Amino acid sequence: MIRAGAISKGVCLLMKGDPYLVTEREFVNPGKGQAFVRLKLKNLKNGQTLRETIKSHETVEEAEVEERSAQFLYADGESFHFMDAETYEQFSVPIAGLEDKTNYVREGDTYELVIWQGQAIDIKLPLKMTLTVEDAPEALRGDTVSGATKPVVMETGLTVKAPLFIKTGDRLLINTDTGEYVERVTS
Amino acid sequence: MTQEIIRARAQLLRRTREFFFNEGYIEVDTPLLVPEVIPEAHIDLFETCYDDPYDESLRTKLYLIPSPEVSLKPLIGTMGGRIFQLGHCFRNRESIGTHHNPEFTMLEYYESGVDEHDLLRRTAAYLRYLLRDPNLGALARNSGRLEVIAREPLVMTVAEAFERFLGIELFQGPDDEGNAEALAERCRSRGLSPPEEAEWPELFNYVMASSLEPALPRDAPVFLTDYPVGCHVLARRGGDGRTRRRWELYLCGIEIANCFLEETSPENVRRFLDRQAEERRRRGASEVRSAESIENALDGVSSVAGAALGFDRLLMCISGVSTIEGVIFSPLHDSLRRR
Repeated sequence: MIRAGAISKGVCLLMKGDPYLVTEREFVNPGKGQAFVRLKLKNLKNGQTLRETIKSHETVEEAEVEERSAQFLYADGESFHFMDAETYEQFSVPIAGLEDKTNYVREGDTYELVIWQGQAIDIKLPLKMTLTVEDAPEALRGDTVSGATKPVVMETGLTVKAPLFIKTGDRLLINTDTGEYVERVTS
Repeated sequence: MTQEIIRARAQLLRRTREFFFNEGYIEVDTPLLVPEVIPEAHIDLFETCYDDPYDESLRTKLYLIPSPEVSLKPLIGTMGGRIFQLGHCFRNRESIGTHHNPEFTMLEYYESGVDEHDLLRRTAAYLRYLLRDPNLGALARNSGRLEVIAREPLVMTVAEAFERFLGIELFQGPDDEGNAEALAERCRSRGLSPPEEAEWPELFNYVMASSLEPALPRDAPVFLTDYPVGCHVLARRGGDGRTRRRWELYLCGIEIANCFLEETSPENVRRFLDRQAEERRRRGASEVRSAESIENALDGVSSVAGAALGFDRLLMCISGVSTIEGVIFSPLHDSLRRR
């Protein structure tokens, strides 16, 4: 069992007998009333999305899952494909509900997969990841006010708003949870 | 936090002070460390102790303030006029997340001789003032938020919002207030699944969190007014007997500010404090030393309106940064993870 307030993205829950993956989680505490957790969940049996709001001190049943390291091969329209580099066993993770993760998988990189009843259901991403800028437009002259940013495209296809000084080929630390620029990696 | 946001934060602090100074407010910086608080049922505190240097047996329990209201209410009660505080507040046992950090910055402002609608207009003017700053304006333009924040605010009562966005009647008939089962039934008929046997305030908060907040428009500031009287807060009752004179401001879908036409009757404040203490006991929350002075703090004052605004969240809205950790120095969950 897990307290609703302790649920984070990527946790698997058993609700009404079905396994659900938490794809979004927001803590709501009005201060003037009890706290709630707003969840967006993906049903692992049929891929359907469910939204739930639960009191933060209530408990919910967790689904038993295991983790396995595997190398990312490619993604097609429906699934991410991985391979265990030692056993050559292949896994596919359905993309539905995990569309954002397309922006953070790189061919040949190793990721932790979440396995439920023999089925790979989710990819664990590090909170922050270094990605290389594939395309950064030149900043417009004179646009130097504080906070000015420009959209740059990363090697995975992700577009982030970055400061004007960022150039193609720079390596940037990106928050995988929000898709936001954190800093330029210089070392 | 990026360098751009560090600069924007400094500019927001400066323009905030400037706005309130221009409006005749006095800035006060009351203690963050206090021996007593206004106990609230759903707020947990950070506790610490003052140790007497010469007598080890003498220890005084102290709290980090969850809000400066414990000091500001007695102040505005005695000096009148207009005061504001811009400083840090602390709340324990909240899940750290997109909109929450245990330490955060709050702008709290009180004005005597006005009501909550006057403070609503002042708050809307404050938002417009901030956007006139070239740097903050550019930041908001860049994040696509300039038009949203500058737009004429949408002002509606909570009951109107329930009707308009959820198709649910909040009150049915004049004596309906407090009938939780009838409200739960109306929610179920609209496809919501409220918690079983919930009491009225819990049911209301559930509908707010699960359905109304996500349904509020995000293309303009939204002020929700006239909260149900069943939500027990230190705001005066409205003339209709079933609402309280309170508003909340939502900006870009985030709850930003909360305002009361402050309760001044010592008897009603006492009733509120007793209710909160009882609720805390029921919840198993630790006992806290209640500031008894708050009971008479506004006794005899004709009217005072007070608002509290989440400064970090406001910066999130202006900059388009989607998490609080992106707009504050050393967010706590980052430092906890490093340990």
